[in-house]
Amino acid sequence: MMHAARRNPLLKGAAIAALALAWSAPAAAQEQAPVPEGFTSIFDGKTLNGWKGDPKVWSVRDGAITAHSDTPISHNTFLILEKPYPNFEIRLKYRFLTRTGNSGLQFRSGIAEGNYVLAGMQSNITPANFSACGLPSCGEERFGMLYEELGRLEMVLLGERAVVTRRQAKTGGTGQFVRTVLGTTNPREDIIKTIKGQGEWNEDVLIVYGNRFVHAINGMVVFDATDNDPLGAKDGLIGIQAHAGPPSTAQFKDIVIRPLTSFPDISHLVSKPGPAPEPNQVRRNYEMPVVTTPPAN
Amino acid sequence: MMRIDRYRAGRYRAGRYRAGLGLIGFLALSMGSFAAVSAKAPAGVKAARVPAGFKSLFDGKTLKGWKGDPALWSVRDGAITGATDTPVEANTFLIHDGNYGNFELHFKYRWLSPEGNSGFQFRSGQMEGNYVLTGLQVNVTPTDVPPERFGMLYNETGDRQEMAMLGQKAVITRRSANGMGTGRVVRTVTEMVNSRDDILRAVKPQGEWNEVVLIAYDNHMVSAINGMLAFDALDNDPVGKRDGQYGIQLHKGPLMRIQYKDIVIKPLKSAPKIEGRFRTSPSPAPAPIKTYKDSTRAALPDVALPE
Repeated sequence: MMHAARRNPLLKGAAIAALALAWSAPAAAQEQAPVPEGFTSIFDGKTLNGWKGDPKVWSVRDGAITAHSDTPISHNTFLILEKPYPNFEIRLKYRFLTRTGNSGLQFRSGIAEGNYVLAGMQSNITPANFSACGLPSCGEERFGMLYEELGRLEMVLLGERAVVTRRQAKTGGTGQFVRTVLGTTNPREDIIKTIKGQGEWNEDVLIVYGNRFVHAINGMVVFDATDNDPLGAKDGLIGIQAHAGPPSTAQFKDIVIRPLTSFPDISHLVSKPGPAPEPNQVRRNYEMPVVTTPPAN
Repeated sequence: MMRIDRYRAGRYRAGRYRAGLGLIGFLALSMGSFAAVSAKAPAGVKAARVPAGFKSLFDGKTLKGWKGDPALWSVRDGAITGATDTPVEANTFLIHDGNYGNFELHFKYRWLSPEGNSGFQFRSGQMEGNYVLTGLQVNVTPTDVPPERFGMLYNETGDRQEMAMLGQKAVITRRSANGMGTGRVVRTVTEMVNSRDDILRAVKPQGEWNEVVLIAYDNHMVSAINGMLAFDALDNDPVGKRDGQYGIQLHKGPLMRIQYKDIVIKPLKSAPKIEGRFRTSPSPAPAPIKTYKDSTRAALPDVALPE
C-alpha cells in the first residue's frame, strides 16, 4: 500500500514528533490477557520465540511485539511465525505509536526473495488516519482490506462482502482477476469510527476457513471474503508486516490462535449489511510484457 | 517479444481468415487429412501396456473420468480426440476428475491438423466458463511455432505465464517489484539442457505419435519429449500451486485436431532420480539469463468489468 507520508513531508515530521512523544512515555511492562478457551498463545509476552524476522525491525517492548525502525524501511519486511496454519481463527491487539504506519497480518503466505519477505494474503492494518487530502478518496477503502502481497493485490476492500474469481481475459492464456461485491458488511464510516486513536489498543480478529476469510476490528466485520480463485493458496505461513516507509512504530500483543475444523459462529461480530455500490464487479488484468533487462532490485 | 507478437498476430489472423472466407474449404481439408491418417491406422489402436507402478487415466474407449465440451472431445482410434470444426471463442479443456500433487505422467500425442495449439494441464483448478482450467501446462503445439514456446512450461491464466521456455533449466522466484506489495516474477536460466534445434529434430511430424514424460515433485518439474529433456524448472515462487487437476487444452485460434493416448501416472512419494533418464547435452544459457514480469501495480482505481 502506498505510504501517504512518503509524499507528504509534513506527515513525516508529525510522525517523528509523535514517535518522540511515544517513547518519552513510561513504558510500563504490561500483563498478557488470559488466553481464551480453545486458543493457544503464539507470543509469550517476552521473547520472539517461534517467530523470525529482521532483528533491526522487530523486538519485544512493553510486553508487545514491536515493529520499529529509526530509519526509513526500504522494502516491506515481515515477522514470520514458524508454523504454518491452513484454517484458523487468530485474535490479537494492535496499536500504532506513530501517526502514520502500515502493517497487516499475513496468512497462507510463503517466503519470497529478500529480507524476510512474505508473498500471500494479508488483512491490512493501518493507523486509520484519513484527514482531508482533497481527493475523492483518502484511502479509507484500503483500511482493513484483504490484500495479496506480491500477488493479486487488492482483493476485498473495507466493508465489502465479496467473491473473488479468476477468468480468461481476451487473449488465450492471460488471466483476469475479478472481484464481485455482493454487499457491505458495515458502512465504512461506522468501522472507522470504532478505531482507537494513536497509542490505544484495537482488537483484531481474522477467521480463515476453506475459501472464506472474515476480518473484524473492535467487533465490527471489516470484510467477508470468498476466494473462488483456483490459484488461491489453501495453506501457508502467518506473519506480521512492517511496510516500507518512514520510521513508524506498531505493537502487537495477546496473539492467540485456534485451528478450525469448521467455519465458526460469528454472530457476536457486528454487521449491518447493505447493498453493493456500483460497479459491483471490478477486474484486474494480468497482461504483462516480458522484460528482458535485469531486475533493478 | 517481436517474434511472439508476430506469432500471435499471424496465427489469429490466419484463424479469422479461414473462419471468414474459407471455412468450408478448410473443414474439408482438415477432415480429409484426418480421414487419411485414420485410414492408415488400424481401427481401435491398442493401448500400450501400463508400466509397472503406473495407472491409466484413459481406458482407450470412453471419456470416463474426464469432462469437457462434448462438441469438441471424443474417442477415435483408441485415442482422446480434440477437434474444433468451428473456431472456439476461448481456450477450453478436457478436465480429469482427480487431484494430484507429485507425480510422473506419460502421454502420447499426435497432430492430425497442420495448425493448432494444445497442452497438458497439471496442478490446475477449474474456473468459470466453458470447462476452463487455470494452472500449469506443458505446451503441445506443432513445431512451426517460435521455437522457445514449443513444449514450454506455461501458467495458464496466471500472473506467471511463460515459466520455462524450451530447453531451459530455470528457477522461478517471486520478489517485490518496488519494495512494496507489487509482485515481480523472475526467471533465472542457469543453462540449456538441450539446444532447441536438437529437441525439435526429435519431434515426429503430423500424424505420428510423440511421447511426453512430465515429472513434478514439490517445486521441481521436468519434461521430456521422445526422450529428449525439454525443460527442467524449479518453481521457488511461494504462490505456486502444488497440486490440482489434469486437463487437455484446445486453444482458441485455428481449427485443429489432436489426439492423446497412453496417459498414465505414478504418484510420487519421494524425489525421483532424474539424472541419466533423458538425453541432455547442456550448454550455457544465452543472455539475458534473468527476465521478469511485474504484476499490475497496486492502488490503481477499480476497473468496472465489461459485460
